[in-house]
Amino acid sequence: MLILDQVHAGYNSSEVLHGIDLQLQEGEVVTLLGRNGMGKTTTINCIIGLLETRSGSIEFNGVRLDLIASYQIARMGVGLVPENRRIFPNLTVTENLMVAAANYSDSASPWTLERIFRLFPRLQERHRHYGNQLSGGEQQMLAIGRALMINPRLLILDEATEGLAPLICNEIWNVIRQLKQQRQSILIVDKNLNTLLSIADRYYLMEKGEVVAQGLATDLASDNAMQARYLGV
Amino acid sequence: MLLFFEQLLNGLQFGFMLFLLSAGLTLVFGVMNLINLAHGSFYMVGAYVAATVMLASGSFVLALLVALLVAAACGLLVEVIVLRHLYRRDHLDQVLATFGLILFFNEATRMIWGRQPLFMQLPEFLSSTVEVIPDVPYPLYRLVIIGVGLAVALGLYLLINHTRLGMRIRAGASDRSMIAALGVNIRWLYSLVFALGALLAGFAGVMAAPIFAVESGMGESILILTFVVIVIGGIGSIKGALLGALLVGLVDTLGRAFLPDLLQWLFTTSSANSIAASLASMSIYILMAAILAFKPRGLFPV
Repeated sequence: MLILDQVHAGYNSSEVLHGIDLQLQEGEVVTLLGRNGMGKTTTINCIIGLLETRSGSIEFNGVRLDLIASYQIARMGVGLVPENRRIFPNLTVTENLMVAAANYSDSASPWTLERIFRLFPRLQERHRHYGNQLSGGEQQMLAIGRALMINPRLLILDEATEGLAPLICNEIWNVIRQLKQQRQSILIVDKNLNTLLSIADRYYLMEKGEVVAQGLATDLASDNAMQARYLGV
Repeated sequence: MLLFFEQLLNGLQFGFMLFLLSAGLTLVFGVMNLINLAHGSFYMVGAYVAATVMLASGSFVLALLVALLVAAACGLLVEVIVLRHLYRRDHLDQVLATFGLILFFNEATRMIWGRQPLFMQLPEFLSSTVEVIPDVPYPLYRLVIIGVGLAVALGLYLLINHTRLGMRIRAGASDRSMIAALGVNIRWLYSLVFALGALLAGFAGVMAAPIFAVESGMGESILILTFVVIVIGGIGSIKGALLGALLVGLVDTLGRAFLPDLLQWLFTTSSANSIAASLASMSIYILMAAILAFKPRGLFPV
């Protein structure tokens, strides 16, 4: 479904990604691991078109994403939950959900406002509040809901639970498990390694802008040496 | 007292005309972060086209429709050909380019219509007077301007706050690349907003044509007032543009009408008149300075 082939990218004069190869099959949950500053968010920004690639290709269901505009990428069915959530502060919860709502995957049972509210009851309680009046957890729920409302074929979550209270984190992980059961394809980045590896099918491990390891999530979960080498503090 | 109410109506009428101009400017500035000095040119285009069509056809409604269409089309062309390339540039580049557009439009109107100002006749159904205040006949046309301003304000409020398009405009104002990453074609949205702004400016031009002389460069004098309005109101806020426009319209009109009389209590007639004249022309800037002293980002910061 998603194929990154030797993607190079960077900011100004410095190159951050030195040839990323990555693949994701339909219905798969893939996680991108690595310490801060290793290029995970940069990779995601390349996929969604917020950053131009310098060379290499990104293919999604046969279409070259690196050649089209960000909004066209979203319309191909790529839904983004960005780092720092980027909720629209001057829109209400309902408006944040509705502003871009569409059915880009031609789903037979598309996401609706009601279904999002069933997924996150907290959002229903606060549906008239503006984005800037929400807690971090509520904003994260809203960011996920907003991305689901375009009915993406692929959902990308960058830092799914960063800075959130443990209870809220659990709620969000539960939702991600539910989405996986519904065979939603997901590319996810997070710090919470144990939970992440229990959900993901496969992992890619990044260091200094390169993929240094990849494999089954269950294998990495039982490989403490590997974890310590690339992810330990 | 009667004179006061009459001037109050005049001030409101001027304020609503300023609002038509400011609404588009504040949207473009606030949403697209673009300083468009050529906004007054769409006002001028609206006035010229309306006066010409009116003269040729005698139909005010037709003149209005054609003028709105032409102003919006001019806006769209200018956005696509020139301004689209300037969003990422800094404000100085934008000011230079749009100043160039002013020169272009002024010269173009001179080439098409000549140097003589045009005058637009009011149609019969709008040229009567009404006694809003007993015994003071007031021109119906000026009341119509107030009504049109109110209707546009209401329409814009509904558009911005209660439609999907309005949601997207607001979302684009706060985080442009995020709304694009959700599948919204922000370029097209910007073109649309810009054309809407031009259309409203053209509308103001049509409304102004029967009151002022239609001449090349008529957009610039009012453009300065328009910038004062959007700075007072808070850049990007339609609500702010409405309140700011009414404030500026009232202060300017009432200042010119009553300052000479007020100052006669303090000074001799001749010096009162000269002080009043200069104070009146400064009054809106004093108003702006006073408001910015307390609310540095305007009345309704976005």
